[in-house]
Amino acid sequence: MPDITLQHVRIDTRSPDSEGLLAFVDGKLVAVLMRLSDELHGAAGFSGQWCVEMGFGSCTVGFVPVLLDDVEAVRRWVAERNNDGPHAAAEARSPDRPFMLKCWALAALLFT
Amino acid sequence: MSEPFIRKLEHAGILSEVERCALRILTTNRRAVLARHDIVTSPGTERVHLVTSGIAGRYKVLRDGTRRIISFVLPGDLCWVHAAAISAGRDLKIGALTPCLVADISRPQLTDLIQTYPGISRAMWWVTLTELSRTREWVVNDSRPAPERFAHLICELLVSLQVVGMAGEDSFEFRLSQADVADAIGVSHVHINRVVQALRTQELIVWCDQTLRIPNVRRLKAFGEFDPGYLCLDGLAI
Repeated sequence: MPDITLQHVRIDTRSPDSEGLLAFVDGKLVAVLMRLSDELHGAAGFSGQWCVEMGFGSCTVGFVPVLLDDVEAVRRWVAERNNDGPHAAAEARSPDRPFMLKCWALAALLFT
Repeated sequence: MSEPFIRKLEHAGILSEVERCALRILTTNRRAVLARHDIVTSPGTERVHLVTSGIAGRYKVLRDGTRRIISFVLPGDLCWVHAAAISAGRDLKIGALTPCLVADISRPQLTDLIQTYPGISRAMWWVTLTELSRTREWVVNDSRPAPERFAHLICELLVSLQVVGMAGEDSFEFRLSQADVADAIGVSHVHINRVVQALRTQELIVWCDQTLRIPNVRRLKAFGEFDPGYLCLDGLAI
């Protein structure tokens, strides 16, 4: 299960947007996000949202803005991009299939 | 026939009075196109479309919904000049970004004029070469930082609209949305807010009430590395 770390930073964009967030997966930077200021983005309805300004590797994004409501939404987005969504998490919690087959085979040998 | 069109064609070289008359009496079908609607829904070979007022954009849409505007169509500009280009450009759309007036010209009639009058033939070559040259400049412009890229585009619009008498010395009507500009310079609809803010803060532009004013045109041109040579306004040396 990847270790996701979020780190708040200040970013000099020469604009009212200055609150930034760095997202790391297993210690590697995967995304730079910016909290959109009301002054600059209020009219467009984006105020307060976190925008993925730059993504790397699994978090690469195109021109269509990726906007996330809060820090927890950022964490979920990074997790999903790293195949650690609810489905992947359930699989990770289950014992792996070869191990289960070996157990059944051993049980069959012991009780026959 | 619209005067912006003839004014624009005269940049290729002087047209004779006979040639100007021939262009003026071209039969056209005039229609209004609402903003956000395509000017041509299914391009055919029988008509060439001339925008006589408003601003349209040639664009493509990517799979993820990104719209990329690859050039503007200003008053006096033709769409689908060459019939051969229609099949190659089926994925390219032309949409009105502001309310537009469009004149549909009979392609056979225009072809007749091109074959009959050397001045009109030269002018149509100029239209084609200018479009290619402009496309080349837009590709190069993509390598500039976003504020410089937008500055370059503003300078291009100023000069191009001046050519057809639709811009003053330092201002023009600019009814595009920030989203249109973002799609033309290839930045996100979020980042464009910062780009516009950067130019405003540096007092390079004043954009309000659908008018764009440039306090110091020379300064903006220097900032955007704008050289109007690629617009071929000195005509063709033939």
